Amino acid sequence: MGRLLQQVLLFAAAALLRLILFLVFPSLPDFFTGRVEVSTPVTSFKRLQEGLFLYTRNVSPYDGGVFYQPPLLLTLFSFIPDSIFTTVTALLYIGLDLASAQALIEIADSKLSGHELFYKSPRRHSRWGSLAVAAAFLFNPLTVISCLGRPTSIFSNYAILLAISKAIQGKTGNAIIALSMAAYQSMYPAILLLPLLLLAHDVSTQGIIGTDTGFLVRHAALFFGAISALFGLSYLVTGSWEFFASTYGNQLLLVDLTPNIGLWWYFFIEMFDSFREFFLGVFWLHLLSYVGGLSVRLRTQPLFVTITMVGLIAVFIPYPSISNASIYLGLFPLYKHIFPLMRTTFIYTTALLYSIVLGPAFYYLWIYAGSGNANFFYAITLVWGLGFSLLIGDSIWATLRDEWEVTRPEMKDKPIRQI
Amino acid sequence: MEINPKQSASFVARTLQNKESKQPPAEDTATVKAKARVIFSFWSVVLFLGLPLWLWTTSIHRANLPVQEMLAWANGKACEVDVPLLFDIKAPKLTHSEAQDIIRGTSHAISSSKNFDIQRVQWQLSETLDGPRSRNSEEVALSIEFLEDSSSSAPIAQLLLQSKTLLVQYSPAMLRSNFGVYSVDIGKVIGEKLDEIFVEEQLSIEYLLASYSGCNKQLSRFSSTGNNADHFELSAKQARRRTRSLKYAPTYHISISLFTPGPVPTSWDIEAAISEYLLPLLESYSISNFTVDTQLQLYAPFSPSMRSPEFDWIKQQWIIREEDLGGFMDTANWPLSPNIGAGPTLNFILYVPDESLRPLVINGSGDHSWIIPQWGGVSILNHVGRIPTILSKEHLRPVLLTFSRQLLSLLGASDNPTSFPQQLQMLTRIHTLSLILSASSTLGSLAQLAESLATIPIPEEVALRVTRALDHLQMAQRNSHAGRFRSALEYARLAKAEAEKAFFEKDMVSQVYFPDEHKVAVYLPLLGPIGVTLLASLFKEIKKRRPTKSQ
Repeated sequence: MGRLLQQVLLFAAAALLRLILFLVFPSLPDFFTGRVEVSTPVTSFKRLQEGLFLYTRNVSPYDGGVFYQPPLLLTLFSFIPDSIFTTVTALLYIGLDLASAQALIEIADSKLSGHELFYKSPRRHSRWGSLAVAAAFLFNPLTVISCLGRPTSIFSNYAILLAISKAIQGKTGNAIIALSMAAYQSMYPAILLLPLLLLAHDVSTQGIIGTDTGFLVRHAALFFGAISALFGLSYLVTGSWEFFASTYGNQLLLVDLTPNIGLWWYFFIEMFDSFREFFLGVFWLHLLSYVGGLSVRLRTQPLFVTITMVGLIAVFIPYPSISNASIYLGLFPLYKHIFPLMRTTFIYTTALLYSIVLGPAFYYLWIYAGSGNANFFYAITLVWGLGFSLLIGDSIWATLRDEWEVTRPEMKDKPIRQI
Repeated sequence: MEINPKQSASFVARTLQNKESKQPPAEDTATVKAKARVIFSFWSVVLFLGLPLWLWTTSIHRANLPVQEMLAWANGKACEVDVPLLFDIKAPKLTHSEAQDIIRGTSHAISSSKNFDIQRVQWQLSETLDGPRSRNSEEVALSIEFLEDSSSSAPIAQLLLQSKTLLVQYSPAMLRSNFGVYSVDIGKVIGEKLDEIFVEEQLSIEYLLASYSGCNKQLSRFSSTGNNADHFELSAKQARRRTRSLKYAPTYHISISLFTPGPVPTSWDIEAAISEYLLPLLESYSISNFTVDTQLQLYAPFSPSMRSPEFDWIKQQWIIREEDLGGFMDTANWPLSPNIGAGPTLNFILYVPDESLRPLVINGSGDHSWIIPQWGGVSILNHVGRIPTILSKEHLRPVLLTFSRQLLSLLGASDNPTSFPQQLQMLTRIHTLSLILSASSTLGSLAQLAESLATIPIPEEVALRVTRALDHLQMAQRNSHAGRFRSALEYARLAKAEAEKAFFEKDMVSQVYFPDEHKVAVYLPLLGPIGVTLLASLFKEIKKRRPTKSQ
């Protein structure tokens, strides 16, 4: 069976599964849309529809503090006629999932994980096939649920995957534009700019050792140019700059404290007012501080840094959802060769499964049954965050170990201790 | 898991052996450099982004307050009661010099009394037979009109009820003097009358000043050093009046309710009664506005906690003990409205007792109405015979007159009201002073608070309000000294409102109870672990570098 056929079959199966879920259980999409694990205030499909309703009736969608998403999404969705809105959006989201899988296949095909330009892992031959990686992404329950819940973060997920795959193919301009779209839509992908630039740099300046600062500056300027153009376009569409305060202002200042699976909302409900601004800054700086450290330490593996940052984003942004987790879990199997080096697999696997099962239960106890309180749900989100950060930390450790074995080949597969 | 002791021992031995034989291999320079750069990268985020963020977001904004001026007001400037009392003399049948003589006599008479020490008495002759007319811009405190009446043997001075006028009847014979000695001293008569009219106001002002901590109390009759025999009684009387009356407000709400335990009366002609008996009073009380609502509540029995009235066989009436008056109203079940709208609410309750319980009076005094301090008044309607289904205007007349008296009393008027316009003016002056004092005291407290707590933020809003309050205070006092009492009252009210708003500013108060120790609890849980990790790695790096440098 040819690989193309396999891929077609895989995509057809994934699309069919989603279509069946959309058609056979028509209440399922709306159910997932209403879940806090899927929809956050900045990605909710319901809020998008609300904004769309206002927008098509020439009322500013940002009045009333319900809609926090950028205006060009509204323009996109306003082209869909009302009569076939549900069908078209379902197909659109299925298409986005498949396109993401395609980008993932392209990333996997490059075999860059474990075999980057300046770094060759001794274990690089242990890897899964591209289709297996895509299948793990497409049939991950978190991905399927995200697709049904239709949060708009799917768009930025796709843009991020596209940016990575284009950067790997040496199409740096396309990659930067894709990243600027992701950043325009949800702001936090801007954090990926540095690792992605390093990745593109290493690919496009094949063989030259050292970093070409001019390349980085040029493409950073392109990024800011592209995102400014998107802002300008938004201004033309809405006729005012008020979308800035509602979209990015809300993410920066955490205006909407609706619970989600992240770590921010509870912290800032409890925070003393006079320290609010300070800790908002601390939380953002915390996320930001990883970029520099990781980029410097793992300079030879920018793809791994990019993927790790995607994972950190899934834990530490103000409004994370399971769709942020699903993209990291989709990218992570690329690093099959470091799996044997990871140490605490059992702990975080169980922690993640435990929180996936208990999260909805505790949310139910808090909101509907009234027999629990906010601490129940927050505790579970803490476990989720802990599990995820352990996974990321362990993967970084495994990568460093892998790197170390390049210099100490005699220590391969031997237990190590601190000396 | 069970560990074989033999095995583990050999494991330990092996590791020990390893330790001895193997030295850690030197890290290659690229890794060492990369490690240093990682630490540098984290620390640069902390130092170049974190530190400015911390300084910027947690700095406390303290607007400049005119502390000296605020304290000056609190410590005595507010006590400057230099209020003019302008007496206007209208004597069309007297010559200028005769009038001057009378003024001199009166001045002499009142200068011996203590009652005019605080306020400044001024005279103006607006009408005489021949003399020049003087006219001051100030508001006239009292007009003194001379009326010639040859038949009278002694001068009579009496205050007209509906205006600020003291009518003096005299006969021309009284004006003739024998070598400067008058047969009858008109001036003295007028002086005594003035003394009688103004004693209440003077006492109130003195009491206010004495009870305000910032004022010099030497002159006051209420000062604790005074050994005046009447001191205690005077003081108690003033205190009673102060506690009974409401604070001045530009708008009051009046709620008139009828409660009866039975099914009758089903209706009352209250609207007509109010417009006839209460409205004239409300309209002439020109320093405040009033809103009125009424309600009628049937089947409203006494509060269950009250002892039921007893029948007095001798007087043939039902009596309520005085100590039970507090429980008379069933506040849980009677729908007595709390404050509606902007101003404070005054409640007036008309209680129509059941036929079997009539007449119902209070034990001792035999009264059937009483005042509840700062809240309102109650009146019992002891109607003779069957209660009509509709209470007419005439039935309500005594009740509303009682309510009018209670209302005036609650508004701060004196117990023995003389002329209503004169009362009103007196209230204006007293309210102005009391508002000025209270605003000054608030500003003083605010200044002290700002000085003693260096960590509380002072928003610009507060500074702005304080400045405005000080301006209004200045204007209030200036107007008051110039005799423009109405505008003085208005300015004093504004000053008080601004001062209160400045003092109770939300952002400021929240920080008062936030001592520095609490900041440890705020910072440490999150920043502690992060900080320890960062510092440890920094120290390790520095330690690593030292020996290499020395080598």
